[in-house]
Amino acid sequence: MNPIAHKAGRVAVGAAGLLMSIAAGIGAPTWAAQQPAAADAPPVLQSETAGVTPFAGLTPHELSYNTLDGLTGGGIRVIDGDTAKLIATVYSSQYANFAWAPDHRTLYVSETYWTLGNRGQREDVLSIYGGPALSNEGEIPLPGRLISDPKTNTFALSPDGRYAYDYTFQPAPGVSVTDLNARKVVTSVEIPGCGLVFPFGKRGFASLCADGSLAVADLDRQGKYSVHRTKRFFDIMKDPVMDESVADRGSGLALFITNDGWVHPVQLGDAPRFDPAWSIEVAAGLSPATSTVGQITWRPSGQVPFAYDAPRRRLFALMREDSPWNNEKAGSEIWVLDARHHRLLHRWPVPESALLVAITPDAHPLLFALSQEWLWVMDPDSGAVLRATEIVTPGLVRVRGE
Amino acid sequence: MSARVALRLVLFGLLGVATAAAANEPGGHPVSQLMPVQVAYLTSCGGCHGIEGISAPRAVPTLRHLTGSFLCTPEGRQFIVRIPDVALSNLSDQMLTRVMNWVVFDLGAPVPAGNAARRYTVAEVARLRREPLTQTGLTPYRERVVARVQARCAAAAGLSVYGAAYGPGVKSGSPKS
Amino acid sequence: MKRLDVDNLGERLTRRLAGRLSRRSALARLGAVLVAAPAFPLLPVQRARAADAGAVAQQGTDFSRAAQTHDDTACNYWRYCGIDGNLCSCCGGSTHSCPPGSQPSPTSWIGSCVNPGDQRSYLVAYRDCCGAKECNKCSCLNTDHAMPIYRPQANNHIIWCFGTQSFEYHCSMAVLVGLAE
Repeated sequence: MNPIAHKAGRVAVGAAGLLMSIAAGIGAPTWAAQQPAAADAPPVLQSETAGVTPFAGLTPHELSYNTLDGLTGGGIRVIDGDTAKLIATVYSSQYANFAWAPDHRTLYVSETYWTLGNRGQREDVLSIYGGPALSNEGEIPLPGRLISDPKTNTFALSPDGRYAYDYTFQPAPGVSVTDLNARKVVTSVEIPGCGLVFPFGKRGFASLCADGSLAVADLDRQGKYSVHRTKRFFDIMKDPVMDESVADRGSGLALFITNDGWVHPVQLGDAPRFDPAWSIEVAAGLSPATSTVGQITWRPSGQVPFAYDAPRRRLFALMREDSPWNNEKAGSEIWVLDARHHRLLHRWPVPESALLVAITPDAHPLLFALSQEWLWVMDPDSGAVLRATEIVTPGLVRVRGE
Repeated sequence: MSARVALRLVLFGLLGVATAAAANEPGGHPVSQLMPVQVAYLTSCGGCHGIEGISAPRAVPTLRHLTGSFLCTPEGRQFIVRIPDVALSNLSDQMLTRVMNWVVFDLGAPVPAGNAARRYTVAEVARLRREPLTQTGLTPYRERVVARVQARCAAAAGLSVYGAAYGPGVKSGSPKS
Repeated sequence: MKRLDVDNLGERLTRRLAGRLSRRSALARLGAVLVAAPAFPLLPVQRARAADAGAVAQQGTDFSRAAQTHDDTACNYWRYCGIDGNLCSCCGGSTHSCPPGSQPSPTSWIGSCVNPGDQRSYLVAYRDCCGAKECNKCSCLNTDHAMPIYRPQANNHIIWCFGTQSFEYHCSMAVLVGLAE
């Protein structure tokens, strides 16, 4: 035997064995006790093997957000509010939306790719991620979707998590309905002149309409979707209801909030109940805001300007003192409002200025304020900034239960 | 003088030269004055349907030289007013009537001769828009209306181009779109 | 697309102007506009008469009162009252031409802006240039009379690339349609 070849062969086998054990290590979750096969002792006893830090599901104090930056091209990140540390990152396309299942572990991502990047076959998909490594678990083809800057209410799961609703805009508006158990789209509901989805009940959803009404969609007795419109409750040309209005999935209460700070509480359902509107500014002891040219006053403003703390019925609003029609600029304060009694509870200044706000749903909530570059974790009851971290330009945010 | 001021003077000076030059340039023309009916069309419809009624035809129905054909049948005549984005638009009955007549008789000409080929009246548009087609599947309904229009008027062939442009299996970027 | 904090706009605008000292590059840019734009619009840019200065300040919109008419690479250029994204004027294009490497979309949303020079309303088509990576220069977000996404005709967050090869957003133009009054 050629001694050189023999040695080379042994090195090759050893290298292969090393590679195989590394591969086995990457595949094997580190929390599971590694059980080396009794008959196959590893040729190299490694101090560590590489695995994936287990993902235990979105915790109450974690914030997830996707990125808006057109150059980095999307992605969903999870940050722990208690430590301000990055926990997980999931791939997504640009202009994606996402939602967590009620198990807090499965992540649904509504996204669009072209096979050759800026051309080729268009693929609209609902991608699924889950398990301890937040691995991709396949995707469900969608019949199209809206391509826009991320907007919270263009994609949502039904409250029980069995169906996904996706606002499509081809540019004829509609909502695709996906059965997440059967992993297929079951129907598309046309909602001409309307947009966005606010789910309620088992299979219902409401959409905001340009004529100032709500479109309410639900299954009829034949099991098919029918859509009807409510009365008109706002004048879109004078004071539109903002896209980033909030709704509590648990109770079905929506707060449709206009540019001028009018809050329309609506109990969603087949026959929505419209409660009297109240003004954020009046709740703070100011005159109502209007869109009169030159009127400088406090107005809700930002990219995601509202967060609703359902258990305590508190509305958090990013506010900015400015003239009308500037409702997407950064806010300098977070106002904490009692949504039941229509009173201002607190005004917290934001470090620098903020574009997004979120509140966790647990008993000791954390308040998140985000700019294009920073995430600040704040105490909602004192306004104290607890910690901060740099982030990638955020698009939209979701906490547990949203 | 500072470089910044010098730059501004250069820019403004060139602007002066440019405007004089453009006035004499072939194809150069002053700012167009839009008619109110055009403004209404442009702000309510023109973004998607195109400033001249031409857009990506498989994504949005083309209006130019085609909408006139809907008046080949009474059903087609009613259909285009009952389209929800038309019926429920923010335009008054009067302005919507002017827009419909402009879209059909100006933008969408020719209008084939026939019983239904007369101008819309305000009373008619007001009545039709109270029954928007919000309940039915709009795309298949349109296909049926178009099929019957095409049976009457050969010039309406272009009405069929619009369809589901971006479903799975449809290649984007094809020359037709 | 990144948003520009308009409160710091003045400072950034000054820095940008100061940086652009090259007369040749400015000339080259204007020259390209002349060649590429046979329909170069003649705007009646009248300076407000001193006697009317007070009245003028009351008219228009809040945006137009702070707008200018000479620099289309700044977010407060009068036509950008509803623009969202990168200015094609900063990306190798202009208010009405796409930079090479991108294509204009046949669809757009149409807004109206007041020209502070004559206080009149003009229709502006915010047409996106698509197909190249985001230009990432001169990012602006103005929302003068912009509507929410469920009234798409006047919404500037929809990526208006319908009819091009993909929805790869590069920059936004502000094409003058005409005088709206």
